[in-house]
Amino acid sequence: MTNASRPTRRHLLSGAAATAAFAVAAPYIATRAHAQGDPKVIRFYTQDGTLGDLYMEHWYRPFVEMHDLRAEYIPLQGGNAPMEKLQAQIAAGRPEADVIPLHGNQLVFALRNDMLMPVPRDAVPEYANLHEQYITDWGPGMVLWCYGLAYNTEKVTPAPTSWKALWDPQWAGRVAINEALKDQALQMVNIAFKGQPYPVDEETFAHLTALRPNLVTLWSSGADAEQLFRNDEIVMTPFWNGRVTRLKGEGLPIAFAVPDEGFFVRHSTYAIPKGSRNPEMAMKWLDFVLGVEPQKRLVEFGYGTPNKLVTYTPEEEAAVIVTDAAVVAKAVEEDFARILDETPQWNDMWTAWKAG
Amino acid sequence: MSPDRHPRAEAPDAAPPVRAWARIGRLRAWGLVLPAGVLYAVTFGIPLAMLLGASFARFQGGVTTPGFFLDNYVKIATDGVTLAVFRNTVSLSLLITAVGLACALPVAMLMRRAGPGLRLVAMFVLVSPLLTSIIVRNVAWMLILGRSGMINSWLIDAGLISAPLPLMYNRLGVVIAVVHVYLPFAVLPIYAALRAIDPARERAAASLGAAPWRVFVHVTLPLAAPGLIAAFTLLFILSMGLYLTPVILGGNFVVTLPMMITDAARNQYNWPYASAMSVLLLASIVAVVAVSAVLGRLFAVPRDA
Repeated sequence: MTNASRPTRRHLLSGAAATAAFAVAAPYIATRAHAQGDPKVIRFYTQDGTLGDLYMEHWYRPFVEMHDLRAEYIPLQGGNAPMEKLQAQIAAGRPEADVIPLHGNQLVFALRNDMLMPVPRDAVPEYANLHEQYITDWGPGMVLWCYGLAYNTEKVTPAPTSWKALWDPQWAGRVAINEALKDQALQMVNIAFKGQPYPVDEETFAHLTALRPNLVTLWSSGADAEQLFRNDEIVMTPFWNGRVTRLKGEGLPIAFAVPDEGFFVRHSTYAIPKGSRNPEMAMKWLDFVLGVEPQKRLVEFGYGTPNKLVTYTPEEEAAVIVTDAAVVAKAVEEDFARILDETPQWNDMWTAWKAG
Repeated sequence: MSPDRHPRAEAPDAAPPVRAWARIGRLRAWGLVLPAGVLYAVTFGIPLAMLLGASFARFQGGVTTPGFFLDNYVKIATDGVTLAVFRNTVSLSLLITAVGLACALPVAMLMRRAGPGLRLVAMFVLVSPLLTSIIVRNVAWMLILGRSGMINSWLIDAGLISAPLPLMYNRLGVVIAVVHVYLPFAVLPIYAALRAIDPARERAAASLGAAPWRVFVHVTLPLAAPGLIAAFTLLFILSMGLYLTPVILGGNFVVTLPMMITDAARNQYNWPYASAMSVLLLASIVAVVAVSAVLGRLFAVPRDA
């Protein structure tokens, strides 16, 4: 070994510095390269299951083929946009998706944290055919669904007409409520006993404690609740209409009831994140997906549409529910800013209740 | 080339050649671990520092304000919920660890005495739960433990019970499902410790008149202590991170700290509070590892034992 090839302290230190510099710089270089927009690429969130298949078949692929695009699909876990991740990505200038579906409280959160770009009305001509309440400055509201009572038609007779049916002592250990969207469960308790969704307080939890003997579990996802019905673990739960339609299709004796005290109708706002790499194409996609054909496919699946031109068969009307103005009038008016603000306190009370 | 033939070593004012080479050798050794060190610093150290920093931020009205605020730690200490859930997590972890060790010890002893064929079968059976997805495993347990599941159906058909037993959506269901999958993490260290015991020691105790249980308590168990401590540590640490099984088989009524962390981050978007709870969880795990290390030294079996 010669002097020239023998490693010295200087060699080792400079090698270490180069390695460290590369390690520190690599994420930045990769991020900037990744952030470069390509007008022929669009990024969508996708879901598992049959609803995910529907989106893929009728909402994404036809649009991608129509515009000769390349699509990148990002799996969405649990059907919720990952706000924590998105916030960090938007701050770094590179959100992973070009369109994001947002629940009501997520929209409030996104606006407070300056995460969205405006969607001008003239960029989405299909807005002309929409019910006005589903148009926002940040994108359209779509995928309308309801939260009412799902029940086993063979065991729960007559059909329940009130949320209070959950408290009936004959259903001890045969009822469940949802942990997944616990704000809905809490508002449901209030609607049942106070006639209004707020405030969530000690009285709300006293009613939940009274429900405890009937509760077998708190389900975490729609799929969990479906399984509870299939396994005959429960006879009744507050649930989403789309899931009930699916279970009916499997031949289960199940029906969806709209309680007299009121029920919940929600939708997702499809928004474009700041820093989107292809906002023009994202807006074109919004216009495409609001059209009659893509919306009709969703109606066939059991979800409501904001498009006034979509027609329903009698079976679809029964499944979608929100097509009937008299039923829609029973929908509870939710305050999503309040839900976002008070969720920490509600969660503390909820955790104390269920762990107690 | 030997160190004393090094040209620089011939210079009259040079450092003694052996010391110089030793220093270079040390630097080389550090150089070898440097890439791994940098990797860890980037992928573990920096995120950990960010987590710690985030835990001091303030979250109000859906907006996070960076800074040095103690709000989240004050909340943990005073809200009465977080510490209760933390205690619940620790007690659940201790229960799982105790049941796991109680199940693992006989299995490890059986494997020690078994022939190679049976040992291989036992190893496969033990490890097989790890080859299955956690969701599939938990759903399978639902089919076994459920109201209309296998166990309740058998018991009702046999006329032993008239109504289904509550085997899941409680702690029992969680403990059964978790011990099932974590058992190899307990069996393998205990088995390794048992294998390292010289059978002559047990035979010597027996030949001196000790009953089998006395040999086990006074000879086998102390010599297997390092394996037991390792198994305890692994089971406890893994159990402290439980999330999905309590959600599915605990029916959300068995609340753990990771469930609260997930809820704070995913549903409340309150990452500062989620970070503070993560720091609490991490600190408790570090404390257990430290205690385990001390116990490991105390109960270390001498090499010549």
